[in-house]
Amino acid sequence: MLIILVTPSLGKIFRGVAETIKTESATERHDDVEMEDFRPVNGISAL
Amino acid sequence: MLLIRRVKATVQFFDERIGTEEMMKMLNDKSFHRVPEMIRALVPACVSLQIPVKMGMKLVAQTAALFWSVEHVFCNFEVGISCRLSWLIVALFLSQWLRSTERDGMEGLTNQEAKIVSLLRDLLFEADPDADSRQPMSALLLTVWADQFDGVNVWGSTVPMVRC
Repeated sequence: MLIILVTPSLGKIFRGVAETIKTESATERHDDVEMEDFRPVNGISAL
Repeated sequence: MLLIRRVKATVQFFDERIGTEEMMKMLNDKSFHRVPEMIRALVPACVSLQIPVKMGMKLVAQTAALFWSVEHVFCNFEVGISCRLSWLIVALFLSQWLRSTERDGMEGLTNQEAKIVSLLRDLLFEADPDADSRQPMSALLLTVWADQFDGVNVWGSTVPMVRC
């Protein structure tokens, strides 16, 4: 009996996961920047 | 460990999208807790990554099709890993451990764990000097492993050589 297994490329899977983590991290950083934008500058609140 | 088995099974039998999703689930699994005993597994895992990086991974993986597989055997022989699938477990374990350090913060690391993180950071930037230091280390690590898995390899020779 001949069994043929087709396995996906491990490299592609690892690269895909890495890209997902980078995207999540970039989103979190972007959120941080947005929060900082609402902080008062030089003690003066945004009016 | 159960999740790693699931990822292994998925990688073997399903498509890339499902494999990626399962791996993300594993990396984001909050039930994974670092314990000091993991150092015993982390050190050989780092050695397994260190040897090809020190040899000049990109150059060798892309230009040395005929003998690279033999060198891969020696990389893994030292730490007792006999085949590519076991190497996958090493990659997943290191990635999951690094991901947990990013999730929990670096403050709670023991001295030994901090040394492992430092060693991994040096290795990652040696493997890819152009890597973006703002990116999470787990993503950089996965990219380095991807380069290794994508390289020109003759994996069929690995198991017989280790058995010899």
